[in-house]
Amino acid sequence: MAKTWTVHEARSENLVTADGFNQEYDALKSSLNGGVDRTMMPPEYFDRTHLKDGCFHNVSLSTDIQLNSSYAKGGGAEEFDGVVYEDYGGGQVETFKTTISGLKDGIAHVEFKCWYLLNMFTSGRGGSNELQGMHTVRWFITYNGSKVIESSKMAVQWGNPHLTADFPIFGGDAEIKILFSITPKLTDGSADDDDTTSMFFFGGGQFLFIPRWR
Amino acid sequence: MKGIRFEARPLEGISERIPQQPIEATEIINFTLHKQTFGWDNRIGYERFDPVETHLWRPFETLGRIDSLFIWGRHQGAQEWVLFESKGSLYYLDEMSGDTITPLVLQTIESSRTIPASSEPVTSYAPFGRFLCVVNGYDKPLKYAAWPVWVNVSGVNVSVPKYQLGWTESPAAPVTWGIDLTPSTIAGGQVVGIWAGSSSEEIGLGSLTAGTTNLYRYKVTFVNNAGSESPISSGSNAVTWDTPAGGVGADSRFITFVEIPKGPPGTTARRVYRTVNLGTYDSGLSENYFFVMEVNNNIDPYIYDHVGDDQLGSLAPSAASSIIFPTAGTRFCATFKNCLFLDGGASDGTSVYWSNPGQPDTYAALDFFDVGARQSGEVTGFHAYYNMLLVFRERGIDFVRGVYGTFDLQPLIDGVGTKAKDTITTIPDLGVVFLASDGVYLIAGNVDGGGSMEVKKLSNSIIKTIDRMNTDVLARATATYSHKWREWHCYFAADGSDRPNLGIVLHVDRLAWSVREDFPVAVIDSNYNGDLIFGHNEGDNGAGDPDPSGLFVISHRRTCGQVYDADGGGQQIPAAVDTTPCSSKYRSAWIEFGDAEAKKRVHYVYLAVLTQGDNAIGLTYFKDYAYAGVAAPGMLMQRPDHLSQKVFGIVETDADVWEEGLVTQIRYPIDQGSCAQFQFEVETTNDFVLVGYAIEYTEPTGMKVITGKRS
Repeated sequence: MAKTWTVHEARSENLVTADGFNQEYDALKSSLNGGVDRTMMPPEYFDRTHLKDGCFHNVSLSTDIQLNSSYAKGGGAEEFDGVVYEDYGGGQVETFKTTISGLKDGIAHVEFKCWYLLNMFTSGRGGSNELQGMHTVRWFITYNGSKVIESSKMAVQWGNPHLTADFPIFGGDAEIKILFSITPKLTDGSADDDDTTSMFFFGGGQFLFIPRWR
Repeated sequence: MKGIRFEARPLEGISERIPQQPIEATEIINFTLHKQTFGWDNRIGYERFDPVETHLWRPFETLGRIDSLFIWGRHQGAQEWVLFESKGSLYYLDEMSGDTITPLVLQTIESSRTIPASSEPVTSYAPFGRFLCVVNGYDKPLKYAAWPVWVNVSGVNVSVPKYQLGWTESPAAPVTWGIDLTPSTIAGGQVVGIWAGSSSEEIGLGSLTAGTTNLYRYKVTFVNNAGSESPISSGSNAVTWDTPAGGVGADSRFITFVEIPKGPPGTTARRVYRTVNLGTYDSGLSENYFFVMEVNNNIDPYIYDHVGDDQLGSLAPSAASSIIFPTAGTRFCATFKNCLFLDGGASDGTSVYWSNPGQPDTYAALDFFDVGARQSGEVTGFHAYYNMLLVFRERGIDFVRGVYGTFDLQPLIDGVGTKAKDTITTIPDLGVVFLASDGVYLIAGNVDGGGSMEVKKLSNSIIKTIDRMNTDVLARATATYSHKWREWHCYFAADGSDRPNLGIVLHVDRLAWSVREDFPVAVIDSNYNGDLIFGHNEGDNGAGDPDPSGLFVISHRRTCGQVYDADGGGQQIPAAVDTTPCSSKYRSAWIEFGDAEAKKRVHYVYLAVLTQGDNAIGLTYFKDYAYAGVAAPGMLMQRPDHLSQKVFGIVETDADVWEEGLVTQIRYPIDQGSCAQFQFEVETTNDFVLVGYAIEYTEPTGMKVITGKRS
C-alpha cells in the first residue's frame, strides 16, 4: 500500500497556506482512495459482517461422480459393468462437465478423486496368453479447453486416484471437464480383446474447485 | 554614497574549496532543495515508521542498532516487505497481524544470525523472481518468498516461506526392487511382479525374447519451487532379470519398482532418469541416462516404471551441469541477465559464480570467473547497470557482459574501488554512484555501440567533509536514491565514530551537495514511493525509559525525532513526543566582491525568502575569516512593506483567506566596519526557505589591506 508520512506540518505562527493543507490532506485521502489492500488490514478490524459473500474466493463441490451409465455394460456374474470395446474405440471420454460463472482473476485449485476398477488383462482370455496385453487408464481435467491435469498411465487393477492442480485463471465463466482414456482394444496379439467384456469403471468421484481472487 | 548591490541567485551547494564562488556555500546543513525556486528549504525532519505517538516505538522497542535493511516492493507496490536485521535476527514487518495498540508486528525470519562487526559488510539482498536471496557470508544463504504469510489467530508466525539457497547435497541414489518372474507364487524379499504382455505398444521394460538378460539402472534429481534442478544422484543398484520362457510372464516385459528419495523443504518434484536395457553390459562405469518421468510431488516414496526404452526422453543432465552449491560463504549477490551472481566468500574472495538462467540454486561446474589476475583486491560488491554487471573490488572495478553461455569479464578501472557495497546506487540520468575511501564517484556511459564509460569524482566540492570519514568502517556506510526527493543520501561514520553519524546529500536537480546532521541513520533504503526509510544507529539500550529504536522515515515533519514522555505531553499516558526540529544552518561563502585587497563596508544583507509567517529568523555575520560573528536582529518571514499574512493562532475561519508563500526580500542591517571578506550565516529551527541573497556594500575610496607582517 502507498504509505504516507508527513508531507506538510502546520506549525504555530506559520502561514496558513492552501498548498500546505492540500498536500497533507490529499496525501492521506489518496492513500485511502486507492492504496488500501489486504496486506494492510489487521484481521481484528473485520468480522464476517464486513465481508461480501464470495469476495475472496468461491467454492464448487460436485459429488457422486461416476462413469456415465450409458457406458456401463458387459459385467458378468461377479464382475463389474463398465466400458466395453463395443462402445469405446480409443481417445479421451468426457465423463463430467460443470460450468461456473462469475469468476475473477486469481488462482484456482482443483481436486478430483474417485475409485476405479480396471481390467488390466486381455479381455479375450484363455490358455497361456490370458495375462498378456496390459491395459491402463489416464485421467485429464480441462479448464476452458486447456488441459490442467494429465495423469500418468495407471496400470493397477483398482485405485484411488487423487488429482490436484493449482493454476492461474482469468475472470468470467469457466467450463471444467473431467475425461479419461483407457488402452484401446488390443488386436495384434494372439489373445485379442473382445468387444463385450467390461474393461473400466469408476465411481465415488468428488470434484472440488476453489478459485481464489487476486 | 550609493551602495553596490551584489546578488547571488540561484544558489549552489556546498563548496569546501578555496577560493569559493559567491553563489556556493560553506555549510548547508539539514536542507532540501525547494522544487519551485531551487532554493534551500529546511522544512524536513524524521519521524517514527508508526507515527502514532502513543504507540511509542513499538514493535521495535527491544531492538538495538539496525544492521541491515531492505525494502522489497512487489506487484507494483501492492506488497511491500520491509526486511531488517538487529541483534542477530532477521525480521520482516507484519502489517496484518497487529491490533489497535500495536498495529505493526515483528515476525522473525531467522534468528541466531551472525552480527557483523563494525568493519564488516552487512547482509546482501537480491530479488530473483518471486524470491529474495539473502546472504551474509556467515549464515547459510537463504531464499525468502515473503508470500504466503501464515500466522495463527494470535498473530504468531506459524511458518515462514524461507528456503535454503543452492543445493547442499546430491539426492541419494534410488533403490530398485527385484523382479518376481512368477508372481503366482509369493517370493520373499523386495521383489515385485507386474508384467506387461506382448504388445505393439511399448509398455514395460525388458526384451520379449525368452532368455534375454535385461538390466537397468536409475538416477534421480530434485526440482524445487524456484525451478532449479539439483545435482544428479549416483546410479541405483541394478535391476536385472532374464525374460522367462514359460509361466505367466513368458515372453513379457515387466514393470519395475523404484524407491526414490524425498528432497529438502521446497522440493516440488523429482525427475527420474534411467538407462536403456543394458543387457549383459554392466561395466560399473557411468552409462547414459534418459528421462523417464517427473513425479510432481515430494511425497511419493516410489514409482512404478512402465516406460519402454523407445519412450524415454532426453539425455539426463551431466554431473557438471549442476553441482553442490559452490560458495556457502558468499557475501554479495546480484541478479543479472536472469542469473544469480555470487562471490566466493571471504575464503575465496576473487571468485565470481553465476547460476543457470532462471535457476538460482543450480550452478554448473565451470560457471565462474577468477578476477584475481589483476592487483585490485577482492570482490566487494555487485551492481547491475545498463547492459553490464559491475564487479566492485577493493581497488578496482570490473564488469561482466554477455548472456549465459557467453559471459565475459573485463576490467573497467584500477585504483578506484569501494568496500561500501551498500552505497552503490543507480541514479537516473546520471549513472552509478558509490562512496569510496576518498570520495564519491560516478560511473557513467556504456561500452556498447561504440560508447564509452567514464569514472569521475563527484565529491571534489566537499573534500573536507569526506576527510572526516572513518575509512576503517567504510563497509557500514549506507546510501540510497529517492525519486520522490530527487536526492541521493549517503551516511557514513565520521570523526572516528564506529557507526554512521554524518550524511551527505546530492541534490540531483542541481548536482549540489548538502550535509545532514543529527539524523541517526545506520542503514537506509527507499520504498516504491520514494520515501526514505532508515534504521536507527543506536537502538534501545535496555535500561530505563524507552529509547528511540527501529525504523524511521525522513519526512517533512518538523522534528528531530521523538523522546519518551511518561505524561505524553499532557495526555496523561506515555507517548513519544516530538523534539524541536533539527537545527538547519546555511553559511555563505567568503565573499570578496571581486577584489580581495580592497576594503568594503557592507550595509545590508537581503535574504530572498519565501514568506513563512511570524517565526523569526536570525542572521550572524562575519568578516575577514573571524571565528566569532555578530548577530543581527531576528526578522519575521513576512513581507516588510505589506500587511502581514495570516498565521496559525491568528487566522479566523470563515473570515480570512488561504495564504501562500511569496518571494520577498528581508533586509538585515550590518554594522561591522570595513572588511576584505564577508560571510553570513543563518542557523534556525524555524521554517525557512532561502531562494537567494543580495549584499549592499560600498567601497571607501582607497582603503586596502595593509602590508604584511614582518618577521
